[in-house]
Amino acid sequence: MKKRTLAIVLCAGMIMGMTGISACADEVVIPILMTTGTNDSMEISDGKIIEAFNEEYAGVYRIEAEKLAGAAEDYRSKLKMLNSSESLPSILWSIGTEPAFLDLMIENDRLVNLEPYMEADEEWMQNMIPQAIEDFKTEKGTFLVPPSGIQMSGIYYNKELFEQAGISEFPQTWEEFFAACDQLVEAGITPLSLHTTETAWCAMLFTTAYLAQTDAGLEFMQQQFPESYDTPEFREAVEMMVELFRKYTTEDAVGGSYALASNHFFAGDTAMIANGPWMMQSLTDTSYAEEGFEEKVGYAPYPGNAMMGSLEAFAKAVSVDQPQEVIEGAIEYLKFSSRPEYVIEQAITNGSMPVTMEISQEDIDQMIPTMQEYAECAKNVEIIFPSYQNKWDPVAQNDIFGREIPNLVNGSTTLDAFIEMLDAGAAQYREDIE
Amino acid sequence: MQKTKKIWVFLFLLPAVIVFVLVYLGPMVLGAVSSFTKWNGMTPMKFIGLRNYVRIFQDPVFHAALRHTLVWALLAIVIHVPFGVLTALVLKRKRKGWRFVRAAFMVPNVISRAAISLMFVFIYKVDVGLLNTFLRFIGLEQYCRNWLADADTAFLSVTNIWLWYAALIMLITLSEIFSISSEIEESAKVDGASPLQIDFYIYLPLLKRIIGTGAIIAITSVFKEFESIYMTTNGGPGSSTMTISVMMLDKIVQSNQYGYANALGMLLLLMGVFAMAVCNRIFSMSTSD
Repeated sequence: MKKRTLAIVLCAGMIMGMTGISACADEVVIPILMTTGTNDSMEISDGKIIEAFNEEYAGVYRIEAEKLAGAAEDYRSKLKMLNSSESLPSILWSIGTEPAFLDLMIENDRLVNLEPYMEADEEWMQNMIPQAIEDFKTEKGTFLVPPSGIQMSGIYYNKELFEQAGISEFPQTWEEFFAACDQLVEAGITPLSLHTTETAWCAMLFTTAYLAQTDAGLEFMQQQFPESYDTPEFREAVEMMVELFRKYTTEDAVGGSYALASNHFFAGDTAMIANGPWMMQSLTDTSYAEEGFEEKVGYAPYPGNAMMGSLEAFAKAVSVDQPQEVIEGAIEYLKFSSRPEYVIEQAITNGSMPVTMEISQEDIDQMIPTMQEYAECAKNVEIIFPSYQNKWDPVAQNDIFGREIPNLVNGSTTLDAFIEMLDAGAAQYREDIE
Repeated sequence: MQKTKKIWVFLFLLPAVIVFVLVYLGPMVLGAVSSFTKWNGMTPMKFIGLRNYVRIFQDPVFHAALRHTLVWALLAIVIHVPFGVLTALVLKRKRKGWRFVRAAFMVPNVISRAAISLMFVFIYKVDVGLLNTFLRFIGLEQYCRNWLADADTAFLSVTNIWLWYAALIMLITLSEIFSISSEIEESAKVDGASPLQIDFYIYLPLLKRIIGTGAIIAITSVFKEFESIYMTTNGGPGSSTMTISVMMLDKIVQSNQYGYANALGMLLLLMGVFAMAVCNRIFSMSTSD
C-alpha cells in the first residue's frame, strides 16, 4: 500500500513537473545571461538588484540568471549564437560594446522598441539622461535603455611597487609615464600587465589613451568604423604599444589572455593594469588577491588626465525572442534598477557614476579606497575618449588585433602590413554590411 | 513472406532515416544552399552565385588554413597512423606490461581534447611552462620560446598536441591483429621467418584494410580539428595555425557571415569525401578479397 501511495505521489510530481504546474504557477520567469569570474563588480551589483527585484515581485516575476564563465567577449559570442537560433535572453547588458552586432539586431527588429514604455513612465524617464535617450533613438524608435551612470577606465597601480622603485606619485604626462616604467624596470619590477587575446583589451586601452592625447587622435577615435587606420597618430600609438610589449610587460603577455594579465597584477608581479571599475571588487576578493591587497592599489587617469568612457557601451536592451509577459517583466526590471537607491548601489559597487543625480560624501565613504580614488578621477577628468570597441569594426578588433599584435611584437610583420590588414578588414566589413 | 520482410526492414530503418534527414541531411542541404547566398543569419538569404567560393579562394587566410589542413592530413598518414600501427605490432608481442601500456596509451583519448589542449598551454607557457623549464634545466635556455605565440613555432607546437596520440588507430589495429589466426604466424615461424619479417610480410598486408580505415578516421578528424586550435592559439599568431573549422566559427561569431562560413563547410565536406575516396582506392577497401 505504501509503495502504491509513493508511486502515485511520484507520478503526480513528475506530471506536475512536466506540465510546469508548481506552487508559483503564475510567476513569470525572466531568463537573463550574466558573466561570472571576470567582471565581478558588475556581477555583485547586478546580483544585489536582482535579489531585491525577485523579493519585491515574488509570485509575479522572477529573474533567473544563467552564469556564463568568461569575459565580455565570451558573453557577446554567446549572444550571437543565441541570436542565430532566435533564443536570446530577455535582457541584454552592455549591448553597445559591439555596435556592428547591435546595428544588425536593430535593423532586423530583434529588439523591443522601448520608447512607448519609457514615455509612459515619467519616473523612469527622470532617472535617465535626456541626451542619451535622444542619442539612442533610431529611425525605428528607441531600442536601448541608457545606463543611469557611466563607467570610465583608467589605470590601477600598485603603490607598494611604485614606492619600491622610488616613484612617489603617479605620472601625469606620457614622458613621465615612460620614465616611471623605466624606473620600475631598473628596480626589477615588471611595469605593465598586458595581453593580446580578447581584442588585446588592456594593451588597447593604453594605445587609445595615447592616441587621444592629440586633437587629431581624439578626432580619429570619434569616427564610427573608420575607413582607414593609416593616420600618423594611429601609427605612432601602435608603435608605442609595441614598445610597451617589448620593454615593459611580462614574458607571457604575447599570446596571453586578460585573465592571465589580471592575475599578474593581483599577484603583485606587475605594477599597473589598465581597466575600468568593474574590476574593483576583485581587489578585495581573496580568491584573486591576498588579503588587504586593495590597500596597496591606487587608481589614476591615463597620462594627460584622460579616461575612456562610452555611455552607449553600457546600454541595455530587451530582446523580442521571449513571450510578451516576459518582455513586460524585463522592462519592469529595467525600471526597477533605475531607482535612485540602485543607481547609488551601482556607483558604490561597480563605479557606474550617476549622471542624473549627485553622489553624496556618505555614499563615497562606503566605497573601498581604490573606488574612492576612481570616483575622484572620474570627477576631475579632462579628456574622455570613447572605447575602441564601440567605434572600430569587428574585423579589426576580433580578427586582426588578437592574431597580428603577436606578429607585430615579434617582428614577424611590419607596421605597414598591420595597417594594410586593418584597412582591408575595414573595407571587407563595409562590403559585408552593404 | 518476402513482402512482409521488406516492410519490416523498411519499418526498422525508418527512425534512423528520419533522424538522419532531420539532423544531418536537412542542415547539410541548408548549408549547401546558403553557401551560394549572402546571409547574416537574420535577413533573408540573397543569392550571389559562386561569389562566396570566389572570395574564399582569393582569401589569404583560407590559403593558410588549407595548407595547414593538408599538411596535417599528410602528417596523419605519414606519422600518426604508422605510429599507431607500430604500437599495435609491438603490443601484439605481449611482452611484460603490455596491458598497462595499452591502457596508458588510451588515457589521453578519454580526456577531452579541450582539456588536453589546456594542459599543453601550460606545458608551452613561456615563463613557467614545463618545456622551457626543462630546456633551462639542461642548459639550453637559448632555445626557450613563447611556443604558441611565435609564428615560427606555433604550428608545430599545436600539431604536437594530437600527432602522437594514435590510441584509436592502435586499438582498432590491435583488435584486427588478434582476429588473425595464430596458425598463419606459426607456419611462418616454421618456415624460418624472423619476427620483423612476419610483421612486414604477413601482418601488414593482412592489416591493409584496417589501416585504410584508420587513415580515413585520422584524416577526417584532422579536417574537422577545432578544440586544440581554439583553446591554444585560436588560429594565430597571424594565420600561422588557422584551420578551416576555426575560420568557419570566426566568420559566424565575429562577423555573422553565415553564407561564407557555410561555403567553407561545403569545401571541408568535399575534402573529406575526396580523402575517403582516395583512401578507399589506395587501401583497396571496397574489394572483396
